[in-house]
Amino acid sequence: MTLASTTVIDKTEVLENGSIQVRQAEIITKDGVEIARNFHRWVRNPGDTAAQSDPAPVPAIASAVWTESVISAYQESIAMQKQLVQ
Amino acid sequence: MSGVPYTFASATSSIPLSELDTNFATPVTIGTTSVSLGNTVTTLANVALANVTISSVASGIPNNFLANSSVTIGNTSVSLGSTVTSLGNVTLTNVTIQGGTSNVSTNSIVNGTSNVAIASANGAVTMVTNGNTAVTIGTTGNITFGTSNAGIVFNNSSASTNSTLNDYETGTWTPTDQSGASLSLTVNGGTGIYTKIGNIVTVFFDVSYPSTGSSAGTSISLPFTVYSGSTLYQGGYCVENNASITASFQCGPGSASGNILTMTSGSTLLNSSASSHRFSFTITYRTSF
Repeated sequence: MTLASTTVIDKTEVLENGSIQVRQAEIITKDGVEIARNFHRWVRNPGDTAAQSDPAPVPAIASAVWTESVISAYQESIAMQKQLVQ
Repeated sequence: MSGVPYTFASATSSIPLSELDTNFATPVTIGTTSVSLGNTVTTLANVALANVTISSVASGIPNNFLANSSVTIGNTSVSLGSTVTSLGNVTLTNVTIQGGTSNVSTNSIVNGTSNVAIASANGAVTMVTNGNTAVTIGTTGNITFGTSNAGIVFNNSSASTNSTLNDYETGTWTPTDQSGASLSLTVNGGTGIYTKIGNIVTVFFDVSYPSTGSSAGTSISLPFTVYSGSTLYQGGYCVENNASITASFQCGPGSASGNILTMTSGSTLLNSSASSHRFSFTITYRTSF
C-alpha cells in the first residue's frame, strides 16, 4: 500500500472586480487511487503583489487580468468602503 | 361411413374401421414421430395446438402469425439473427441487460438529433445528455455533475437561477492581516474553516493580534470575496477572549476582507486597540459564486 500526497491549484475564479479566488487541493492517493481531497483557499485582489509568488496559473491570470484600470477601480472601491465604515 | 377416406395412402397395415365411429369423431393419435401435409395442402382450419414445438421454419413467419397472442419464447434466451439491428414498438418489462463486459456504448440510446446514453465503465454509471456527460454515479455512490455550475433545480416558481443549488464545499484558509501594517496574526487552531453552500459562506476563525501600535483599522482576509452586486454590507459575530472589547465583524461588497468593529461606537477597531487581544469569529455572508 502506497500513500501519496500532491498539491495542485484545482480552481481559480476571476470575479467581476478582478479579484482572483484561488482553491488549492491537497489530494491523498492510496495505490494511485484518490481517497481524500482537502481544500485551502485564498483571494488575491487587484494589485496584490503576493499573487506573483503563488503557484501557477495564478501569476499568469493576475498579469492578464489586472490592468491599471482594474487595479485603480478596485482600490477606489475599497477606499470608499473604509470611509463608510470608519 | 360417409366422409371417411377409403384408403390411408401407404399405410403398411390396415386400420380397422371399427376403430372409428360413424362421424370420424374418435380422437386419433397419428404416428409417433412426425406428420407431414401433402404438398398441395396449404391450410389447416379449426385446429387447436397444444404443447407445440416449432423445430425449424423454412421461410418467414407472416407478421400476423402471432397476432393477439400472448407468447412465451423459450425458457433460456432468445437471439436475433445476425443481420437484425432493430426491434420496433417493443415494450419490455422485467428486463435485465447483460453483456460480456460492463460497457454499454455511448450514444446507445438515440432520440432524434439528441444523443443520450446510460453508460458504465469501471463500475461507475454515466448519464449522457446531448452528447455530454451530465451526471456520473461513482463506485462509492457519489453523484458528480458533469458541467461546472450545474446543480439541483428545485421545482418551485422561482427562476432557475434563483432555485438551483449548485455548490457545496468545505475547506480551510489562513486569516491574514489586510490592514497594510503587515501584522503577523496568530491563527489559533492553525487555520480558519469555511463551509460554502450555494452562494452562502460561513466562516469560523480565531486569531490573536501581536503587540502593535499601528493606527490602521483592523482588516482580516476571508476565503471568498463578498458579493459585489449589491451595496449591502454584511456582518457576523465576534467575541474577544477576555470580554474586554465588545466587538463585531463587518465586510463590504467586493471585498475579500472584513473589519472588526467596536460595538460602542460602530467604528473600525484600530490595530493598536486589538493589540495582544484574541478574537473568535463566526461570520456568514453572501459571495459571488
